[in-house]
Amino acid sequence: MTLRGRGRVALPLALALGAACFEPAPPTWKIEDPRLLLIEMEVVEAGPDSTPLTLDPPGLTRREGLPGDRLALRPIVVGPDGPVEPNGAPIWLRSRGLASGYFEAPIQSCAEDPAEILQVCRLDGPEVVMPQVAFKTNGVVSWFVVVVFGTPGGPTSEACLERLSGDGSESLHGCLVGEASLTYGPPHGLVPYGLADPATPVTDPNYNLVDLALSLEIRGASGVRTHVAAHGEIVEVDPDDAIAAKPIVDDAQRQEYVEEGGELATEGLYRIWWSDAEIFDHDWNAGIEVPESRFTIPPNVARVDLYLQILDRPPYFGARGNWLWVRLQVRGRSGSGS
Amino acid sequence: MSRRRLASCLTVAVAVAVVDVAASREALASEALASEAPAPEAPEPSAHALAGDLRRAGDRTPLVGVAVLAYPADPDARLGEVRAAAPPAQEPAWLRRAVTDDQGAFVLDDLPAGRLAIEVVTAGYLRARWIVDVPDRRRPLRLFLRPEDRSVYRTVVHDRVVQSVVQPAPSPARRVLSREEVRTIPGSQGDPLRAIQSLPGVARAPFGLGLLVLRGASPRTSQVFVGDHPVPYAFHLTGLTTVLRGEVIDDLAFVPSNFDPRYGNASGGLITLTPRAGRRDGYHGDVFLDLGGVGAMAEGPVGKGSFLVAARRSHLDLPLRVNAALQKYAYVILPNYADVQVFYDRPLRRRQHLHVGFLGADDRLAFKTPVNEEGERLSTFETRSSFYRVDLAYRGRVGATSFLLTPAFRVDTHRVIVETMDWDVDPRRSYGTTLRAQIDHPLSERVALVIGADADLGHQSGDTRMRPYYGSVTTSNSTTLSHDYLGLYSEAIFRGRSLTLVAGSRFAAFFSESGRGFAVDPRLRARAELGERWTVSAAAGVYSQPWIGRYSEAVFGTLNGLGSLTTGQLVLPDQIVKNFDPTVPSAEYDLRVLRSHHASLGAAVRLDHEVDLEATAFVRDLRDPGVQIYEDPVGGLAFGGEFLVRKRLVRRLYGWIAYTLMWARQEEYRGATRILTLSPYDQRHNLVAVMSLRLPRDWQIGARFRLSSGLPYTPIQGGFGSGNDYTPLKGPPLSDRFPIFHQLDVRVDKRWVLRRTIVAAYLDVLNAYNYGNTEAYLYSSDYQRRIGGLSLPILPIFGVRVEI
Repeated sequence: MTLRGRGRVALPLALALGAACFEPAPPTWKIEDPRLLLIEMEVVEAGPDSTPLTLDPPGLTRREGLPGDRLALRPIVVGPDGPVEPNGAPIWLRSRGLASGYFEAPIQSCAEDPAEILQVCRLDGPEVVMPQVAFKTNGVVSWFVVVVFGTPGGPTSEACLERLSGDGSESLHGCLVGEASLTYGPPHGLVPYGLADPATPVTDPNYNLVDLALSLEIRGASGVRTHVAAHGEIVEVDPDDAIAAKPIVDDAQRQEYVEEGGELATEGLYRIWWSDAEIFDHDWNAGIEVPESRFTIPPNVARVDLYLQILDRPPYFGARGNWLWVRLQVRGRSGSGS
Repeated sequence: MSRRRLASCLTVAVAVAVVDVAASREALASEALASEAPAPEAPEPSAHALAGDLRRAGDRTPLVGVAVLAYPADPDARLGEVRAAAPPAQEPAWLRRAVTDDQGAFVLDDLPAGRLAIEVVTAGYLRARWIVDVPDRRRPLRLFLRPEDRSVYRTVVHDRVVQSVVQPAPSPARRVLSREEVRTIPGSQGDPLRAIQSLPGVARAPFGLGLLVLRGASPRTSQVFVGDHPVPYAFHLTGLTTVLRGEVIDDLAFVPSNFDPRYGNASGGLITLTPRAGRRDGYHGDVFLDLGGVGAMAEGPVGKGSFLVAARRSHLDLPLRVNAALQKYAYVILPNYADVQVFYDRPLRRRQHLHVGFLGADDRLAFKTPVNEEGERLSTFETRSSFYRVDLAYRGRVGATSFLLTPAFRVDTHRVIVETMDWDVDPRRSYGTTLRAQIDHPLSERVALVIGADADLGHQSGDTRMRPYYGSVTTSNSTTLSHDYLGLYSEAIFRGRSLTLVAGSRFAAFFSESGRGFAVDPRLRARAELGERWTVSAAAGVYSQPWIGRYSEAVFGTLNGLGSLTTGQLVLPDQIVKNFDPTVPSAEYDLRVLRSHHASLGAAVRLDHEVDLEATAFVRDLRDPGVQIYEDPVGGLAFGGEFLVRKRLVRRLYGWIAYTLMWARQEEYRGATRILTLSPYDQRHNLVAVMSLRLPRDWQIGARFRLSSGLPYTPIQGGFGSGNDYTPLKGPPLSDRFPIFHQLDVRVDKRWVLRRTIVAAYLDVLNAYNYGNTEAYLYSSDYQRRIGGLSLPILPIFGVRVEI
């Protein structure tokens, strides 16, 4: 198990209290409401001090940048019926981190903050330029971006932002508010800024994970078959099929980073599973590395949405990754949902 | 001669009542009549004697001054005790009589040889008769008398705060419960402090936990004394039970505000539990078992004194361990507590008395992870707290002056271990000495003076280390802190014909390494009796409390003082958060002095049938302008009224209806401006109705119904985060309330009084109609919705106690 900080205590305690005393809470892997899985980002325009993008290997996009690099941002939101479109364009903020989650109104535009001194400012759209003024948090040089995402049937993204800028008396149900760190790198690129030791080893930039697929071993009355599913694919299964799902990903894509002492280190890839149906037998799996997931199709379920999230670091701290969504359609059962 | 007529004759002859033995005067009358009874017919010449002792069945208390009669029995009568003895069918040929001494012993002399009846009839006990042969008996007789009514086992708890020749002055806030009431109040399982929670002025605690919110004051501003010295905590960690059993307490006094100047260092309320001395009438003891724990007690004479030893251990962890063994992949909570009490009391020469006491309490609460690949469970987090105290109390009288000299030595430890987090905390130890010296002197019949001094000297040390993670380095925060709190107090008590006036003051000096403070607290109380039924009382005073705020990180969630705690998705009332959330202390603030003003005004009327009607208005204003930014504020204003209709326990029935109307605000300062906002202790309405009825054959049934306002809490409006890492977005602090609470608790007691043993069993059914009172909210992991409320379901609690 890898959890960080307070979450490493709070979540187990909540589960323990709930399990010991009272009604059980639904498993945390179950998608019951729209949920922000992650914020994807890639460098789309190199800054003056950055290596030109054309030098990157074909097909790979950088996920960390140097001052002046422009990054494109994309929220990945899924719900009980698959990926979710926003209710109004998502709003993007650049911040130095949020203490309480609420903002003081009015929020100024980042264009009005050339000195990059504002705690929070609003970006014009889903892009952000890596600020010149960087600072360190626990050895990682970063700023943050925040997305405010109104979901269908709930407040619009603008209404959500208004509520987040109020006194906290209005419900934020239907508003997704997420944060991702803008990580500076590669580390040796920070030497000119005085943010890295001159002896910092030269490393490749970290790239977004690619080529993610899902290997499904489907065991049913008609035997065993194997199917490799790509993102967004709909796979037909039979009722009562037993399924073993295993991600296909190149472990060589593991992130290499520089520790506080200047040494290079890597983390493993973390595979996190989500679903809209009660299919997993474990209580929870958030932050738990589950290489392979085995389950059976529950009775009276017309389909199962299965989400896989691959992270190159433990969750909770600057983790970036990729994701995949596969729908398992049950033959002979009708209905739109699980 | 009819049977009734014969019985009457016998009654006159032996000077005991035959049928109606209900009144206590009968015992005296019977003895007096016996001495005047006509001389019975002379028996056959003989020199036989029969010795024995007479004790109460069950607890074997010697019965003193009771007449024991002997007369000839039918030669065919069966030897042994006669069940359901009826008056003799005919007048006996002769009669012998003896009276038990102070040990319950008696000797019947001048008995003829043959089969005899030994008979005892005395007030409050069932007629008893034994058939014995004389002179066959070689050992002294031991006779056990069964009480008519189990109330003889009841010890009335006196309203005595300090043992003194000077009776304590009344307070408008005074509440007294008899031990019988403490033992049998439904829903409290015989726990003394939990029994208090059914009285007016005490807020209902969430989940029925042991939390003493007296007139809206933070529990941290009230003090609980055991004997003449405070204890660091009154309830075991789980909040379920007091740190000592009700059976070892002789006296319980509860003053929610306006307590007298003898007590300081508290700005809220006061509770004193007086340990009782062990019995000297033989060796006694008990064993008990209930939902919370198992324990035993022993007491008896030793030399010229007496001892009492009691120990208890919870077994709450046992079923949870079994469950953990069955469910390897579940998180486990393992609560555990134990306590021990040892008292030695010895009378000394010249009306002096020595008490030596030892108290110990140990609490542990562990959260364990699911079984890992190595088959082990790791401690997610664990707290251990304990205190051990030795105290001496030397009391005596010199002429009309009584004195008290009592020191106590205490060691407290507190440790929080968070394995999966980055804290590693050494035990925070504290060594303390408390002292009290007091002289009570009646100046005249109407005026008395109390002068005393007390001291609380302590030293604590601790070390909080944070292990490295993600590139950080190990940090260590060692702290030591000493404090010396000194108090001088005096009180003058004037008792007029209908007016009692008590004026006192307390001077206190507080020293620590981080500051010093001084306080002079005047206190005044008065009571006027208006006729035979009405009483009016009033009190006002100033109360100072030394305060060393602590910067600490709450294990469950947010820093103290920042609103509702969130344990993952669980939102608990702030009352729990502020008082039960284990914290990892890392620094102390400078010493400062909290000052509180109390005022109470009450009226009481005694109606017929032992029914009392009381109404009391109160206000408490506690100011703490020195509160630090990350501290949980305790200052604030509370005011309201208490109403009580009470049927006192006289024979078979007791009960009351208590209603408290209260407004509680907590203070915060913006600059020098004091702002009052809703307090987490604001329980606007609290109604408690209690009734308990003794039934024949030692059955007792009771019920308690409670109706109270929901507690304030800070709602969660949404979540901030992604994936499965979310932080709650909270609404305005304490801007919502949990639903109204109502609950019925039913209790049934049954007692079997055997010759040498009493077996008592009870069934306490909490939440008898299984209503889902929401005490906490559970949110989805992303805080997008509230997915349920947590409540205490119907909970039957069974307990059994065997007194030996």
